Amino acid sequence: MSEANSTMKQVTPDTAVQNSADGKYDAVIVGSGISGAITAKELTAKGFNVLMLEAAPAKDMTYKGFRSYLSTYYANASKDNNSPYPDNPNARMPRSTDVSKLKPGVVDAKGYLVQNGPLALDSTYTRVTGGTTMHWEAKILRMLPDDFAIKSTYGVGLDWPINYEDLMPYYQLAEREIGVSANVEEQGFYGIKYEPDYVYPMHGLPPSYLDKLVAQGVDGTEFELAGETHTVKVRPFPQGRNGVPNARYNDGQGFKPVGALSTYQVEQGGRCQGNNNCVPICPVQAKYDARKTLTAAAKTGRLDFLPQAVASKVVVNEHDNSIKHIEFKHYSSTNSTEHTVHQVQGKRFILATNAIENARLMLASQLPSSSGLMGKNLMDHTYLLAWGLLPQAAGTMRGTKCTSGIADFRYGASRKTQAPFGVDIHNDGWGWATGSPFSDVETLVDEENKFGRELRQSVVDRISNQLLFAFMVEQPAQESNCVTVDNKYLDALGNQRPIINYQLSDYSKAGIAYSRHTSKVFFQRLGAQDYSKYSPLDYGYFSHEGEDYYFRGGNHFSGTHVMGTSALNSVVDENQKAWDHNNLYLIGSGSMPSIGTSNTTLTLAALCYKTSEHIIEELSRYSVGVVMDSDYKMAKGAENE
Amino acid sequence: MNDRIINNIDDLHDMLDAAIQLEHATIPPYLTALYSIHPETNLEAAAAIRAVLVEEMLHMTLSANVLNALGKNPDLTAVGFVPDFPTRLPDGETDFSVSIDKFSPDTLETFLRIERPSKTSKDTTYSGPKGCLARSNHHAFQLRAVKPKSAPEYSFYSIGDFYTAIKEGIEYLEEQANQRGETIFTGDPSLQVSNEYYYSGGGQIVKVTDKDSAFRALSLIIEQGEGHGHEIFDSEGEISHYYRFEQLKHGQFYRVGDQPGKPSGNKFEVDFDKVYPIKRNPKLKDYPKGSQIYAAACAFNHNYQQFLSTVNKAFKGEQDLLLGAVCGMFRLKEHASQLIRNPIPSDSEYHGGPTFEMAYEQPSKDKQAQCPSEKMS
Repeated sequence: MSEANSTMKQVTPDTAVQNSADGKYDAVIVGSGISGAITAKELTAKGFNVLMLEAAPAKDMTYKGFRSYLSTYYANASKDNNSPYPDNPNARMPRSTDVSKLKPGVVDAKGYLVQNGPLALDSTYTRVTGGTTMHWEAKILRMLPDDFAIKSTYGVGLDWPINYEDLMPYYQLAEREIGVSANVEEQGFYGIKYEPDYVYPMHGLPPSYLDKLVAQGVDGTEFELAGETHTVKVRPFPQGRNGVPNARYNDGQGFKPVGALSTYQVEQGGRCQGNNNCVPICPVQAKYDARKTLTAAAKTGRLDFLPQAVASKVVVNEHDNSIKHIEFKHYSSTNSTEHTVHQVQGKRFILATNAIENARLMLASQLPSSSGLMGKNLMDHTYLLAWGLLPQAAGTMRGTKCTSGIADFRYGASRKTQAPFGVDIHNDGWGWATGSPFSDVETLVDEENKFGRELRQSVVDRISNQLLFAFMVEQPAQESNCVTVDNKYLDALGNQRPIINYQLSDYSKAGIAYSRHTSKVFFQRLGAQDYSKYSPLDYGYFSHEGEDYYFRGGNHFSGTHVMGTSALNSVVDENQKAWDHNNLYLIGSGSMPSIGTSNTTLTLAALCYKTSEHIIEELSRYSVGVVMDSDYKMAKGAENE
Repeated sequence: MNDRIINNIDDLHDMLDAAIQLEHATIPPYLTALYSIHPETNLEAAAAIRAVLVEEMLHMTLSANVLNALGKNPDLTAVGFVPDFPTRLPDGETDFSVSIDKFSPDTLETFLRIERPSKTSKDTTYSGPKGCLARSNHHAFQLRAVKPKSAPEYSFYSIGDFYTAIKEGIEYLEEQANQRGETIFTGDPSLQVSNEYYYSGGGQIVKVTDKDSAFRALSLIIEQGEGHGHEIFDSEGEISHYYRFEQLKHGQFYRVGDQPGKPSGNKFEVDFDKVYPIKRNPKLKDYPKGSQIYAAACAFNHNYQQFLSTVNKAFKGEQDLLLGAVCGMFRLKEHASQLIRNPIPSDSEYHGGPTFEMAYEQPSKDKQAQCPSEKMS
């Protein structure tokens, strides 16, 4: 299967600089995550030449490189999101293990993210080739139509300049690229609609035994909220991982899943096998990651990939405020901070790092946007965890990390006063909350003196009954939550680090509190013993109306360069083009004015398709020699490495 | 002497049954060699064995599709379906032995012989039926694919001749049937295993409904296994089994355009020391009764037999079972690892290994008495 084999054309800084001086590049893209990869694939497919800067080394593109991540992950005592990825002082990444409880008024700068409080945010992103899709969970939900107009409907947060209908065709494209497994008939709820006869590329993954057990207990439970009755139903999640292809997809042409990436003859990456360590890394590459898209872009021969190049400054032309060039620092080894500084240019500049790094780079370049909104409106999904022990074995630790959840608190009139939320049923037990199964072993040995065969049996008994609900609570935009920079906090290359200013509003807290209420009802119905505890010593601790809670970050950073209807109320327009700079695009979840109760990747991917379409149209206007689709296919077929 | 091997539909059914057995027969040796490699070492070698192994599973499935299309169900639970190892395969006028063994230079040589492009009997005249000859060690061959049912005193010159005979048989019988206004492809199309259940397995599954699709399925088996003569890569850019394995001798990958024996791709290391020392062709009787390794070997065999029975049901229409069978494969790996990573108590040199001895003759109660397997799964 030649499709799975790939080579990536890497360029040196000197080549990139020379090419860009010669006017070769139609676009310079910063970042190789899903946003950059999709845009690169779309542009190169249409015959445009793209230079991509990536802050990390590029060994990731080979099977061997991928295997080394896997080995690091297996060997690492901590299994956090970034545990497979080696430390790179030149492009550090946030790790949840760096986060600790903040002291009021004291900045915590020990991790890469500078935590300015008042609350510490433990969300992360991954700075390797492929970006944060290298650790994502790949649950891949569309937003509800209501989510696009929360300001006008519920009086909170911000509205989008576009709506669900506008995004529908792009959602389809994103679902094809990612390869989504789901059944339409199970997903059309609370306003979500599809084109007639649409089916997902692959059939939905089967729900876990645990899902079925929970459904038996809680389906049909009714909650009265703001005068409306919310009736609970456990539903499967769409998944960005390979399942059974749907023969009806694409008017009966079917769908061909993309397997593992390799330079040489490794044919792996079939369907999800339920390995249960989806986050951070799927050992068989059944889970989508952006390298799959990147490889397709590379196959056109029109993508120049420049790794180990950390964008450090966006420089504007005085006369018209357009972008003149992007400055980057290139290092030759992760063992040394030695680096060289270069400049590159293209017809279009596309910042596709992520919500935090895009804003950080712009602010570090002293480009706060004429709206003043650069870095502001930082959003994330806030999670409350609730964990209990079921009265019977539930097969915990089997299957994909999370196959089903509850969507019945994502909508409704209550959104005026409290944040809506989705509920995840976790197949991986208490891991997120307590560090299980490792913590279980410690407890059984240290506190219960178990050893040998008895210890082994106790571990099985304890873990098989574990149930964890993760409540994903919407956070609406709020300007005081923001990314800033300061010369006091620099990284090894002398780039300003992101400073996170973060607080939860009463609206968020009310949503979290209500989610906790529902967890108690669920545990009651399931006969589960509630083990949840939220210690005042926890870094995510807060109290609300006399009750203790904590929150965890959702790794869904967004909103730092929101889109809107004018240069006054937003940083970018509906095509993610900066209002202030006519050749600059800031793409990704940073453009989202609200995030609803959907993991952000599908929506940001859909936005990237819309943006790519717009950029292609603009470039085509003054471009000559753009290849036709048929030529492109021939060229693609000829590539046989 | 009759030139044709296959003269009626029963002969054809029997030959395809034999093809399924043959394609399966390489799985135990490949699986054992793959699992014998120390974890996280010999990545390239493991990937090569795995890729070929997966394609053998594809070939088995393709053969089953052809048989089903001809109106007969495969039987993976039949007595003797899993051969006794070592087993012999013909290779022209010579032949060779295939063992359950660890990954080693010897094993690699055997794998190369299994996958070497077949010599064919063309241009040679022997007294037997087409593509066959009489061998002095005739009795040493147990695989049904080696000896044609219609002339059991002879054996095929090579596996290539075996498949040629099948294709000729289909051609002949279908023509006969067509003349009567009938077809030999009378099987239930719903029994065909499709891409829904099988992909990323080194090739596309072919649903067989007529002669053309049957030939496509058989050609895929022949080409993937045997390669196009001396072509390293096929038109799809996929490397043939033989050269995939041959790369392991060179420690270097072939690239498109390379000449045989002269790969020019990336280099890699093959370390035959990073392998568990499995006893060659282990048998249950090699393990002390009552030992954990004995129990693990029983558990493996029990699960392997169950696994074959699941696949068998899937080939008979319960295709959904193939999804669950994936879990069965994890279980097999678990049991195999228990054996392979532990020394045989009575043996200072060797580790255990799966014996692939199926309990065909014994009713299940006796088997349980012999193998305390209920605790193991």
